[in-house]
Amino acid sequence: MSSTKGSSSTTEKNEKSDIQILWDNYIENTPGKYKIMDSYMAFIVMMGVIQFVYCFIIGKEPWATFLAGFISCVGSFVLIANLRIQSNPNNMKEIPKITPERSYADFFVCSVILYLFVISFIG
Amino acid sequence: MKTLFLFTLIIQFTSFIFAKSNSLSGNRILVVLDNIEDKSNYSIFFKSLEDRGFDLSYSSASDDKLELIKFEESLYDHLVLLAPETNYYENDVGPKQIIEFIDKGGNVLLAANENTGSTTQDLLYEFGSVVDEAKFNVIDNFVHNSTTSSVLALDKLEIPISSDELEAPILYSGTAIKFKGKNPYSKPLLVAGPAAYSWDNSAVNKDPLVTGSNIVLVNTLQAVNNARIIITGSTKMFTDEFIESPVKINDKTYEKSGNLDFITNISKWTFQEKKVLKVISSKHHKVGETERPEYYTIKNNMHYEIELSEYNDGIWQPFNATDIQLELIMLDPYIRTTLKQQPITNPTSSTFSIDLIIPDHCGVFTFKVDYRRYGLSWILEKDVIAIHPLHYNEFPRFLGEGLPYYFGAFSMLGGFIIISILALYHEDDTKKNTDTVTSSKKEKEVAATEKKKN
Repeated sequence: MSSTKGSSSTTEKNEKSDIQILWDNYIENTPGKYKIMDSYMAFIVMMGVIQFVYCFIIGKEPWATFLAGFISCVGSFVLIANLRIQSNPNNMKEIPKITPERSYADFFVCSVILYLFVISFIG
Repeated sequence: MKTLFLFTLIIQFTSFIFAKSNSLSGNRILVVLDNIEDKSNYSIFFKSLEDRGFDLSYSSASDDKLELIKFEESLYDHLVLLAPETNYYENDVGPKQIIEFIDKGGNVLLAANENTGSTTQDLLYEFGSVVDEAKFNVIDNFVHNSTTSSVLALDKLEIPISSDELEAPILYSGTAIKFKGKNPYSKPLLVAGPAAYSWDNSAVNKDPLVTGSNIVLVNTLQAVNNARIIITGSTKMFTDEFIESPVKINDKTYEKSGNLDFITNISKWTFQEKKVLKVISSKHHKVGETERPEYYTIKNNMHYEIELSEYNDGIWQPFNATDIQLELIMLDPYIRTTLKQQPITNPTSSTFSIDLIIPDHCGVFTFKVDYRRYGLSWILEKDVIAIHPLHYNEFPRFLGEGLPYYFGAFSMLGGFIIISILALYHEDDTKKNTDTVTSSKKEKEVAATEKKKN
């Protein structure tokens, strides 16, 4: 009995340590720039969920406003995820044609288009 | 005194010349008979028509002067067809031309009998009905006049286009007409009793064509253009003999049959002398205004009003109803509502109106009053008008409820600026990270220089 308990606790420890390793690696090896992007993406997800739940509670009334808010979240998330993938030099081998400058330019143009729509929808 | 007498004489004379019937569609009637001599058989009926101001022309079906439509114009306003036995009418007056006559607004009173010829058969076929075989007539062994079982005596009407209460039973002797029931514009007015059947003198050895109340004795049809048609299987019903005949049914006896009363009523209906409806005006506008707007905006309060008048025996009267509906249609009806009759202020018409809210849906709408009640002329009043959405300055643009959404959207916009600055100007201080980055940069540079060298 005790042995099984011990084994299970060790596996838990192992798992924990796996996640811990992953986390430690992330903290250690990821450039601060990407950390900021990641935390910002987490913020976007949170905002999206909040707006969705809020819309669920109060109903469809300012529908276009909800669309603007929610779609701006989804769009931003997608664009930043793209920027993060494309501008990372570690991904150079897979997407060699896209330079970090080019990826930023894409991000900029797409964002401008997205926010034009969002602002026109919001009122 | 003498001058006064002369004066009244002149007035009487002129009124005789310009005698006009109460019919709204005109007073020229063409009577088509099998033989011109038959005219005397129907003298009471024709006399009653003339007394009502109609101008009757008589023609035999085989007369080569028989004409109904000339140069695309109807020569008559109404047609009385009492010539069922003639197979072919002169001058191509046949079903096709009679249908054309009806399309031009002509009213038709059509009678078949036991020896119906092909023209009348084809014409009946056009109205969705079949006539029974030759020599067959309607027999009822229970409800009949004195002892003749082939002369039916009826006292119940199916729909009230005629006088509602008959003073005496109607005598009917003729053939059975079967209606296929596929024409939604036709409706039986007089049907045989439950024990009636259609057969000739021989013994019944198979199922008759029609029995009981499926035997339509008098049928009404009102075409889409409000032309009215009466179809009956008995020419005898219109004869002097039947009009004057006493009726003895079971124990009751009547001095005179109700035929003249009935014929008068159905001919008044057919020749547009009664139960004619007319739209005098219809209008709609926003509540508080009087003019029809160029367009409505969603959720406007509007007022709809229609003025109707009913014609009966030469008088326009207010029309009373509780079931007139207004529909706001864009493919489907968005609103279907019953109009309320307003207190009558005009002696000749009545007003129906309603206040309602325009649907919350923009598009091109049709405001339609489509009133179809049997016996009355059809009414169709339409108006097409656009319903616009709210203009940009007609509703609040920013609501308190939308605050989380505004915050969401603008925080994304702020995030965009932060990420832009980050992507453009951020340099990492951490050694490891810079190492990896710079090492890869160095590799690149090395590769580039090598390429150049090569």
